[in-house]
This record gives sequence, structure tokens and C-alpha cells, in this order.
Amino acid sequence: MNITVTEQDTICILELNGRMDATTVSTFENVCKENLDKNFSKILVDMSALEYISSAGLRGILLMEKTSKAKQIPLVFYGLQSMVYEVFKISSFLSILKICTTKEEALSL
Amino acid sequence: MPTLKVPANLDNLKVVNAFIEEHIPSECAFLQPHVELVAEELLVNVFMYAYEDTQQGEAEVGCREVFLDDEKYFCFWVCDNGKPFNPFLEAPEPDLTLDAESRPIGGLGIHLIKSLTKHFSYSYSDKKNLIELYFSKVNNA
Repeated sequence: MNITVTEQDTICILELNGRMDATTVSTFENVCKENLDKNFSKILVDMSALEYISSAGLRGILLMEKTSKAKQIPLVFYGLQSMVYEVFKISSFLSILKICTTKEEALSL
Repeated sequence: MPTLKVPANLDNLKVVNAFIEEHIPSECAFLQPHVELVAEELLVNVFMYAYEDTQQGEAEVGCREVFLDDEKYFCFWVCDNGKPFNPFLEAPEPDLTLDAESRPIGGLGIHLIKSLTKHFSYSYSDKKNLIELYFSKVNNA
């Protein structure tokens, strides 16, 4: 999995690319930790190029959500592909995360 | 019947995924992400817990088409010779009504497997754990 980090004013955008599984989730956790410490006004996670997620990946996502809540930094996910959407749905992550369809929508929240 | 033996470490998930991609029948191609997901969930369990004491172990995976009564299924199985462990009985049901703050981290792997398969079975014989997962060949998507 590749992660591209862009800063847009005070907003941080993490673009996930590839597969988030037991072998790659630590990369995600490290990038999250680093950027949650930088006092951004909001963090967006672009999932449009994330093709696969497993329960190991869900652990990383939930940990990020908990940390952002504790730090009161709004966290918005967008662009979920079908496999990732299905796994989020089964795990009822759709109801505990802020999820948008497009980047524009995520920015406007 | 195609089978594959891999040493018990996470680097081999790639090898197992390549095996699935090669052997899944073309009419079941829509199941491939589901099969890869259940394979990872089961293998991570085996690799992390089955061989705690010995550090050396392996897992075997395989697939075949099976008729259960009159229905045809795609079956994917995982076998290991670690200590006896039935994950379907041991794993507690996650509480999916909790909000993010109160949710425990983890514990969703078996829930995902149960949700994505039509049938699942566990057996222990000849000092081997065997888990068989049956996927419906009907594409409801």
C-alpha cells in the first residue's frame, strides 16, 4: 500500500493506494500517528484507490478514529470502492465513521 | 484438487493470494476479494497463534467445487497442525451497535468470515485443524 500525504491550507489529505492488510497496516498507522500530531484542522482519507481491506486494516482505521476523536480533529473518509464499502458495511463502520462520496463533499463538511 | 503449503509467516499472504487468483473458477471471479479476505483472516490466526510454542509451522490451503445437497459451492479450506482451535466457537460476537469510542480494537475477523460465507465448518482430526468455507456461486451483487 502506498500513502500520499498532501496538505491543503490547514487540511491534511491521506491518499491510500493498494491493499490494507496485516502486512501493510503498520504503514498506515505510522502515517496517521505522525499527521494526527500536527494539529491540522481536519484530516481527509481518500480511499478511491484502496482496493482491499481486512480486519487488520479495520483495526488501523478504528484506532485512527479513536485518536482523532480524542484530539477533536474531524476525520472524513471518501471514495470507498465496492470491496472496502462491503467490509465497512458488514462491520458497521459506515455508522461510526464520517463517510462521503466525493472530495468536494468531504471538504465542505 | 489444487493445494498449497506455506510456512507460517505473514509474508506468504501474497503467495496464497496468487494461488487463489490462479485457481478460482472464472464463473466465481466475483468471489475473489471475499476469498482473499477469509484466507487472510484465517492465516493470520494460524500464523500468530497456532504455533506459539514451536515457532515453526506451516499452513495448507486448497479449493474445490462441492455439492452440498443440490447446491454447488466454491469451497476454500485452510489446514494446520498447530494446537486444536475452533475460531468459530472461541471468537466472541462483536457488538456492532457501539460507537467508535466504546468499540474494542479488533475481533472482527471471524464476523467477516461468517458474513461472507454461506456455510463454515471446523474439524480436528489426525492432529490437524481443518476449516472449510463454502461460498455461494450465485452472484447477488
